[in-house]
Amino acid sequence: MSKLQNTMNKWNSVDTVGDFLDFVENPNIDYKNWSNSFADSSRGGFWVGAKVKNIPDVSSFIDKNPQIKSTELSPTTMTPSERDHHEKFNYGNGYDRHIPPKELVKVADILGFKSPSVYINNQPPGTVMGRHVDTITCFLYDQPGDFKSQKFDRDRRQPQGSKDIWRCFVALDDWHSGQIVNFEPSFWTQWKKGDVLFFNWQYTAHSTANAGMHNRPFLKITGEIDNDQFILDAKQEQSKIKVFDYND
Amino acid sequence: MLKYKRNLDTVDYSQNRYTDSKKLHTHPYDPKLLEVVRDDLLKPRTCKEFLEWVDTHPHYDVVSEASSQYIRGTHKDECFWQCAEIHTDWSSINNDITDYCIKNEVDSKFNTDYSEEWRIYDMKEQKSYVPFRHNSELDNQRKHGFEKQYQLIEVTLTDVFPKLKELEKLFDFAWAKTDINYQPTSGAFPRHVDFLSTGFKRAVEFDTSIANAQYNPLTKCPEGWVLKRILIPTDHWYPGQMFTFEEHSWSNWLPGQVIDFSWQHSRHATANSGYNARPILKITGLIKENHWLAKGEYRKFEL
Amino acid sequence: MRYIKLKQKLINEIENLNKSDFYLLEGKLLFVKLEKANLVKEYLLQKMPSLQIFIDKPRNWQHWSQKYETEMFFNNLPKGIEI
Repeated sequence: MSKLQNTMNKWNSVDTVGDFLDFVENPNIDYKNWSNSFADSSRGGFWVGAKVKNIPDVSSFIDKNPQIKSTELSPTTMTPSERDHHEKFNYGNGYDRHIPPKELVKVADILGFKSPSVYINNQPPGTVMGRHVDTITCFLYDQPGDFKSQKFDRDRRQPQGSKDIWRCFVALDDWHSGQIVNFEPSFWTQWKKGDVLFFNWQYTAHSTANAGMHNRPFLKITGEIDNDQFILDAKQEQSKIKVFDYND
Repeated sequence: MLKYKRNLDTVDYSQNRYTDSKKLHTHPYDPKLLEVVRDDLLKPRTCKEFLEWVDTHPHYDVVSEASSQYIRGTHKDECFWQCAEIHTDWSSINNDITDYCIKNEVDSKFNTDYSEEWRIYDMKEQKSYVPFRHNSELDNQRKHGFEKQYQLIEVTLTDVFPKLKELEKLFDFAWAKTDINYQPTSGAFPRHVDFLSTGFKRAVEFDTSIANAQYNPLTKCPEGWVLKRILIPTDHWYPGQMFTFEEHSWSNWLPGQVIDFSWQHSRHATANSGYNARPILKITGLIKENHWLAKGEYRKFEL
Repeated sequence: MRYIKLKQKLINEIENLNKSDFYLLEGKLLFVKLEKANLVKEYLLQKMPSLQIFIDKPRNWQHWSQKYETEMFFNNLPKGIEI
């Protein structure tokens, strides 16, 4: 039996959130091929789901030492099997991760997220993030209480019975030439500070590279949103993008 | 004409008229300062004078940025376009490249550091795969974290890839120079415009008529000639391989699709965020204005 | 459309517009004064009414020798466009 077949058998036995986290942390699974099996360009893709005006300047936050450096292979953001794969192909974490100050966590509140996981992902010049499909483990680990005993929905790859878990990236600076963001099959380019990208994280393979000369800071937010209709409306019709104001 | 040897360690600091050289290299560049540099760039020079000016300029990276006249919103087809297609046994060519890279550890020994400029003259064997960069350009790149860019495998000046040398002849370039631009996984090359000076220098070194021709700083070509660079993927595109021209992207390529592009003005960048190395042939050379490429024609080749 | 040709044309055709009123940075035109940007926008729209022109407040950096009130950029310029 191949490593991938073995991995898929283990995956098919996952029943609870705890089982799922144990599964991804298993150093013997073929994590990369398992996660890539979900990439589906017919169901994947991204759209600008909202805009947030007047976000404060983030330069002072990203100038500080990050919690995780872009060059590291971190057990916090990667599973053991994922780390092995990254090392083999010369990748690091792919971005500097910073704990956001409350001024930036406010952006998640403004967008309507409940108990989200929020981080600053800054990609310094010269950094490349290897292509992958998300598994939102950072969100699951961040949840309080007895999350692990909850049943796990393997089709949606999130806790059973929960509302849709959204992941978005809020641009904290304008786009600069050389910054490359690929949410397959398309490229996000020429964003303005405050643009909020939503994507179907379950099916969208993505990768980023900063071949420019400026930092590329995004705010990564993961969680449920009570009133998420505005995201779906914007997906249908780009002229219906909801604009929020940080100062409201 | 006798070949002259330029002293590449000579930096002409008399050109350093700009008031604050620390701020000069800080991104984003000062727009007013870029205009001053652009005015310097536009002064009339012969090709030989221009190459000496660029070679000894202490602020190559700023000169390069100032030389781009790109306006955002420019149509994609004015940044890059397919100009030809070549049908041949690409599978066998790729196998040759892969075998060479495994044997010479091109993927694992991946670091873009300073190197000697050795590509003017014939090579007996290639020991280093680091592309030559102007010191000021590489200083700027390394300062910004670009330590793994791409590897450059020589074709024209060696006999390692005879099939590719045959391919080079299809385009009938004067002073043709072909390399394999090979980007291992995780490599990133920062956004830039070109002067194509490495190939152009050979022409200037050995041909007085080109050396003494006026250099057109708007087209970045010698008067009476068109300096061309074309790109030819030898393998098909894999997800995660990135090639951008300003706000536009090139992807889903097939081997043998020949791309012409605005190397002079359109800032281009590459990165490999996938799990397969990315080999692209780069052919540079001079053509006259009646050449089919200069006339915007399309050709199909069978080799 | 290339910067130097565009700039020459604009300076020649628009009264009260000078060389030092605007510059090029990373594909965008940076104007020292908003009123000059408006002059250029008006002129361009007269020549090409369907042109998509965007005007925004730029970020001014500490290391720059002067400040700019406006940045202007375009979208979907037709192929081969010249003014």
